[in-house]
Amino acid sequence: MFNGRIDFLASRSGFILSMVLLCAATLMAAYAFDRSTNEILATQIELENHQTANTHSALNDLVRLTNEVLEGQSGGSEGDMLASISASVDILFVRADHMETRLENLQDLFLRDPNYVKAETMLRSGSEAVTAIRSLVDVSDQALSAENPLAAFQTAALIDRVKSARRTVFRYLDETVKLEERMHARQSSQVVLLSRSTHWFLALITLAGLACLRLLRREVMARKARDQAERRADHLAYFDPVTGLANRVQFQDRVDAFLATGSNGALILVDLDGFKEINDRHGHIVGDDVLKHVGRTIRAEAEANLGIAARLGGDEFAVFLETDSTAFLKTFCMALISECARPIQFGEDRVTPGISVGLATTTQLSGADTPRLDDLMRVSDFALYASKSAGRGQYTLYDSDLERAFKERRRLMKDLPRAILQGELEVFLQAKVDLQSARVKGFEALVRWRRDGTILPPADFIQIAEESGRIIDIDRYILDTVVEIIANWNRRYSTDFSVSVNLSGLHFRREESLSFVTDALARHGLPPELLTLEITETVQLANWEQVGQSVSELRSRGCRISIDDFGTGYSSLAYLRTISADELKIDKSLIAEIETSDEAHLILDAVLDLARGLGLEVVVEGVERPEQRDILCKLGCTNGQGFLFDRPKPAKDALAGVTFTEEIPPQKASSA
Amino acid sequence: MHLDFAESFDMKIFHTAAACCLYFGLATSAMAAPKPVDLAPMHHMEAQLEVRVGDRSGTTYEPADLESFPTYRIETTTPWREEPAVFEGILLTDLLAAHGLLDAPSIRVTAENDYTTVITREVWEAAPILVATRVDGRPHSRRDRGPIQFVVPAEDYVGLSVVTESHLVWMAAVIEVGN
Repeated sequence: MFNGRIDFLASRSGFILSMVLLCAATLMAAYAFDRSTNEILATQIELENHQTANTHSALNDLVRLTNEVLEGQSGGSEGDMLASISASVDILFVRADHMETRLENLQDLFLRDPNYVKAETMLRSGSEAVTAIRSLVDVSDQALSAENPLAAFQTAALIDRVKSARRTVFRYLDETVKLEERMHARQSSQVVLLSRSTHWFLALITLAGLACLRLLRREVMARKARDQAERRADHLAYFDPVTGLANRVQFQDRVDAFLATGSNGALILVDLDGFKEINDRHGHIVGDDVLKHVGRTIRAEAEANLGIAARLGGDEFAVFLETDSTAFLKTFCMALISECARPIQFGEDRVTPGISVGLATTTQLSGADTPRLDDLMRVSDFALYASKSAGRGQYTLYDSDLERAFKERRRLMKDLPRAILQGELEVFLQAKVDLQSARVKGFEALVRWRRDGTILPPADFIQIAEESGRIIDIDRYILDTVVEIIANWNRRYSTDFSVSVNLSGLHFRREESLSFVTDALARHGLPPELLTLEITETVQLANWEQVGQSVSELRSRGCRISIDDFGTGYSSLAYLRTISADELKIDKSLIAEIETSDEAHLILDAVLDLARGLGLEVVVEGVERPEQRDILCKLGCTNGQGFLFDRPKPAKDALAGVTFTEEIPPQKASSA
Repeated sequence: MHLDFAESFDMKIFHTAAACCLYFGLATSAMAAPKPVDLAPMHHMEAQLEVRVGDRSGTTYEPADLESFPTYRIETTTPWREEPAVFEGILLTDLLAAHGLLDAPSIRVTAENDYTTVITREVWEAAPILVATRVDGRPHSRRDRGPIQFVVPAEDYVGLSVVTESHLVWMAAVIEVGN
């Protein structure tokens, strides 16, 4: 409420109003002071200096005349005496004249304010005194011009005039004194009034002063708050609020300023590995703590080497160092990776952050005279991408091959949708055989991309397809195509070939539907038991219950389930327990070492035991030499695939090759 | 009575110069500044002005004696005259100079009616004080506040705060050093 009124004072109209009021109050007070003081002074001077003095002098003048007359009686030179008496009369004459003038003055003074004090009695007694003195002067003048002046001054009439003059003058004096007393009384009350109004006026001024001080204080506080907010805004504009590191804007400014001098430097991009998983698993608070921890580590390492550390956003950090020595930079990156990898304890949880690093130096940039951060950022990104692709906790120094590979990948990614739509993807089949008899039991469907006249193997584009999610469409297309080919072939040539199709882990995410499998089987009329779905355990299969459920559903429709690439990557025993599979495919990396490594031999033996125990059929991949086949047979493996038996071929060729050598006469095949 | 003519001549020059300064500085004061005038001798009313310096018995001047100093004329009103009158007489400063009182801090003037007043040096330095012996060409009478009256141009006792009505002594009788 009070503040609201104070605010009104600060407004334009409030300010003017209060100023006008204040000025008016000051002027009124000053006028009242001035008027009172002037009145008091003028009246006091008039009464004390003139009226009282006048009456005293008049009494003195009367006594002088009486004295001169008395002296005249006591003898002496008559001429001298008459001169003295005449002078005394003259003095009385002037006195009367003077008294009259002063009385007129006083009257003017009182007339100015009729309510001031009642002065009529005093003024009346004054004019009576003047009249009495004048009358005395007249009679004295007559006496002076008489024949015997000295005798003439003895007459009763003259003595009477002297008495009357003395009485009236004394009364005048008495009235003057009384008037003075009345005036003093009045002045006293005037002084009380003045002092009271002074107090009020001072109180008013004090209040105004307080209001001003309060306004001033509010203004100062507001300015302080504004300054603080501005400083905070400045900080926010140039610093990352979570880690306290420089943000992208500040980093860009400082690095560009440095690069503008023409000096060489290196940009190190740092990406936190699996940050999304950390957030998902532990929550955002832990996520932020991990960011802070990594931020602190990066900052310490950067500042120890006189560099600038920044958080560019999300889980991306950057360091700029003023050097282009690759040997130094490599040491720096290794130290950075190992420092960041220190585990952090959160209550019972333990998080081990990992980082991937990509770096580039200005000397690697050709073209631009003075490279900018954006140029460095672009090439460092290739290096970072390469590090992330290669796995976690890696650093990569940019080179132009990396950039070429990256661009190629980007082109592939761009072309993938077209490949599916325009039928550039082709199904190849690789036979799955009985190791002992080499009899073909079925096929594994493999995809090839016939692109601009060359045939790309899956290794060149499946990872890109996985990353971009295109793998879903590719898998559907391949499954549908191969089911159709096999179903038609089996129908036409009365064969019962089975086929294995790879399914990406992405199909087992909650939002994906696997109904396309049963749809394809129904549409093309392939018995479900002839279709094996090969699943590779990947990071996408983190939710095993979800995967187990989907797999069980496919099995209940009659499809067979194969666990692919067993013995590599993420494969674990828990995986085997969760997923009810029919088949286990052992990865070729294990087979490749089977002749030379006792460990591989032992592991394979154990896995076969395990598979037998779980009732899983085993298929070995990558059998390339007869010696490998013999060992595998000895270990009890029955099924396998590999170059020893068959290379992947276009579907029709593969089917024809098997069908017509084993069961159909060649001439019939040529007519087909 | 002793008169130093050289000094009186100097004083004349001084007053002329002062009058010129006043003329160029303050037009109103200059118009009322005392003008030197030659006065024919005349029969005055009987009166005396005694100047007392120290313990020595004073010098007594009759109006005619006073007029042996350089004489001046002022036309002015007084608090008791509504119409301006022409006052003639001598300058108080000349009289004081003749008695070596020009540098005195103050003098006390007593009138025939026992009225006394103190005139400080700054008063006679601020305004010309005429010791008038004649009014409108006639000898000054007692009933006209004579025969010897101190007159200051009206502008000065109204305009200057140091000069007041109390300095306009009428029936002047004694000048002495003191306060």
